[in-house]
Amino acid sequence: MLDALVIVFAALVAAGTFLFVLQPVLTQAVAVSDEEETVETLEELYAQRDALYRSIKELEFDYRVGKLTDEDYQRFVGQLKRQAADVLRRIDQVKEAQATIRQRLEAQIQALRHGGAGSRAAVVPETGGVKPRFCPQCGAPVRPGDKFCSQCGAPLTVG
Amino acid sequence: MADVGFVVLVISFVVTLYGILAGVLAHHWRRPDLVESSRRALYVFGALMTVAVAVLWYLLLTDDFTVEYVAGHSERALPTLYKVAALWGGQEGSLLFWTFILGLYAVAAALFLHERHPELNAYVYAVLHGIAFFFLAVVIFAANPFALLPFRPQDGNGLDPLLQNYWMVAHPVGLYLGYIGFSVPLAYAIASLITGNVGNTWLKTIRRWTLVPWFFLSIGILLGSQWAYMELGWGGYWAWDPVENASLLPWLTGTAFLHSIMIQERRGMLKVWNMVLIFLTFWLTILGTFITRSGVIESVHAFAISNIGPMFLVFLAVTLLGFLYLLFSRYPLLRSENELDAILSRETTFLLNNVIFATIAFTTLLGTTWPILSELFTADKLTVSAPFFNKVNGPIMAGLILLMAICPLLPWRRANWTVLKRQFLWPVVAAVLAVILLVVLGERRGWPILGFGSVVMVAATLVQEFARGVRARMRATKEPPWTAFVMLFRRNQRRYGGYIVHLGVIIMAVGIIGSGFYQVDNQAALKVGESMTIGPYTLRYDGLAERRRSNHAEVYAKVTLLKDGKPLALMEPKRNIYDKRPEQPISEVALRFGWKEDLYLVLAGWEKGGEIASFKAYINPLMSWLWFGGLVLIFGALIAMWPMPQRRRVAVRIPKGAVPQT
Repeated sequence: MLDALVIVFAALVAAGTFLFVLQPVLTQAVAVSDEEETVETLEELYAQRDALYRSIKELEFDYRVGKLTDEDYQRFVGQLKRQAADVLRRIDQVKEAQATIRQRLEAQIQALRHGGAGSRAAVVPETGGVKPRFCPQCGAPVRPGDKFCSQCGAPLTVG
Repeated sequence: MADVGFVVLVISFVVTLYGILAGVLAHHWRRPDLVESSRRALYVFGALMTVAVAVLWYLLLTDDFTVEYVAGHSERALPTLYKVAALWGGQEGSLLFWTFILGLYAVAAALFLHERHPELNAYVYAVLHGIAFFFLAVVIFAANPFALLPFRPQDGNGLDPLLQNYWMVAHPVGLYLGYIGFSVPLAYAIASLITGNVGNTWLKTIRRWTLVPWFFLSIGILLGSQWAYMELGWGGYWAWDPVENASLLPWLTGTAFLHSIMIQERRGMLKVWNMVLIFLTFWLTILGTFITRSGVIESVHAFAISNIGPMFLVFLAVTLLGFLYLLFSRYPLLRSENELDAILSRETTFLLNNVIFATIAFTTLLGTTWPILSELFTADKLTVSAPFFNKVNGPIMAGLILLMAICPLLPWRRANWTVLKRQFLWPVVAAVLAVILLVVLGERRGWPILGFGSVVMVAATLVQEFARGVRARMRATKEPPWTAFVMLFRRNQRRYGGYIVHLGVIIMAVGIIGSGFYQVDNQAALKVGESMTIGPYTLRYDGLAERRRSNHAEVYAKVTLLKDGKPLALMEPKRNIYDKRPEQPISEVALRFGWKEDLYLVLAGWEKGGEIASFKAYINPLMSWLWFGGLVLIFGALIAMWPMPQRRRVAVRIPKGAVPQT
């Protein structure tokens, strides 16, 4: 009798485990997108930036307690600050690239929402890179995804 | 009920196998859903191991002697505390306990670390599952704690008498919380090597994490030596025996790692060292447990008697070869980002620190495995014992203490002469004064002089670091001294917590040098009423008596301690004779401890019902400093790893093209 109980217990635990562990796979998930890759690089850059800030802080402390001469301190802190500026610049670049990707995705979503033959929705560039576009009416630059020119109000056509 | 335990083990076995596959595939197929699945598998593993351990505890506490393990390690009359501790009192139970703690750490990692480094998660989980899979294989196939006997014994064999005391309840727990915790940093290291993400980001996460197992391992080792001191009755606390060395080896590489990581974080150097140190720390915990359990040191042939030995050996070989392959194939990624700016710099002392710790670890490993190696390669089995280790490791450790004094005084990158003079003046003066004092007091031996001199130099360095730090803060923030002192810890948690740990180490060093070089001992066989002397003390034997405890008889001698004719205390050295194991009496040392010295008394034996009793007495100068220093070390580690509210960082934008002022 005890054996039967154990078998039932084992079956229940096994079934529960099966369901719990496989649930994420059975309910589908999204594959890694480009965005996630830049997120990884961003994390790495943030960590570099934080490490540099910490090094600068430590160097300042060592200088205050008298372990560094003025000359050495200026030289080393200068190096570190230059490196930090560099990292901050790269962070900005990555963020800009991210924003561009986001804009592109936004525009694609917009197009899908309002797309169809005969509509006068804006065309979205299929390939990478954002080409500057201009209003055929007044020549003002328009953002990708705009359906009407923000200067003269003319509807923007496909093409 | 035992079947429930076994079933749970089998399910865990399958789950961890799945977890390995899910993790590996998750990375190569880029499937976050599989990562999540592998992560959930870790939760299941942790939960099931908790059930397994709960079952074994239930069996122990209900005296279920049909279970072979319970019959072998417990008895009806065993005090409840030891029935609980019996879980880790024997081979099978302790391996189950190991796997359980691995489950706890794995769940903690899956819970708290999964958002930190998503690119590494897949393989981190796969590695953790891999380690779990191995241990489950050992437990299920070679050391099943749930095996049943074909009959039901009336009573069990009882727990090994050596384990029936408070230290032995806590010591394995501390050790295991130490050993197993290193699995997580290892998983991250392997994951970063395999995926090629060998940036420095995961190091910060791992450094904080690694402090926790290091903390517990330190506690475990201290408790073990305290146990040896109180229970083994030979007057000392560390004999360099294989089991002790097994616990020290990962501590050495782990400590080196905690230091070496600072260099990689700041300067992107020593990457290969750090990978090797993490791996070795983990690998040595497995080697250590293999040595302890398999009896391989006693004889090369003993280890094949149970299946555990070969399984561990295969695991050790596979992991070592796998790691070496990974290391060589990823070597280009591990190139240093910077070079040493100058020989005389803090970076160099850290490198030297690594080398010294590695040397101590190497000599200890060599000495420990010498019996196996000599038996394998020569006809004789040669043993290496304490004198070898003391002679070789002692001086190296003295060098380490000196390094502890020098390192904080040097700045990062480059030291120049003006700075050196300012930094080293007081510590060197203090050390020289200490040496002179020792010589004046009559000490002529080189080692105690060097030892105490280095200790004083470190102490002076620490005082100077704190004083200058406080002064600098007060100048900058106008805080009162006490606030500045506390704020030093809040703003530089690692550095000043680390200094407290170093303070603990030198206090321990004082205890080690004192008891090591100045011990006095004496022994005598006394009739009732007779006395023996040791140092300035007299010990008078007043008679033998016996007390009855639940599962043993306590035979104790009544000894009066006198100094200058005046009685100071009554000391009762004992011998416990356990009902189930009368051939294994355990001595209980009578200890009178103080800041200056310990008086340590052992009842070695008796004749004619107690008419004559023989004693061994020791005076261990400064012995308590060792334990006190251990407490300070623990406290320092807590400071270093305590989660403190961090100041929020405000990002400052530097406009494009701007050049910061230097």
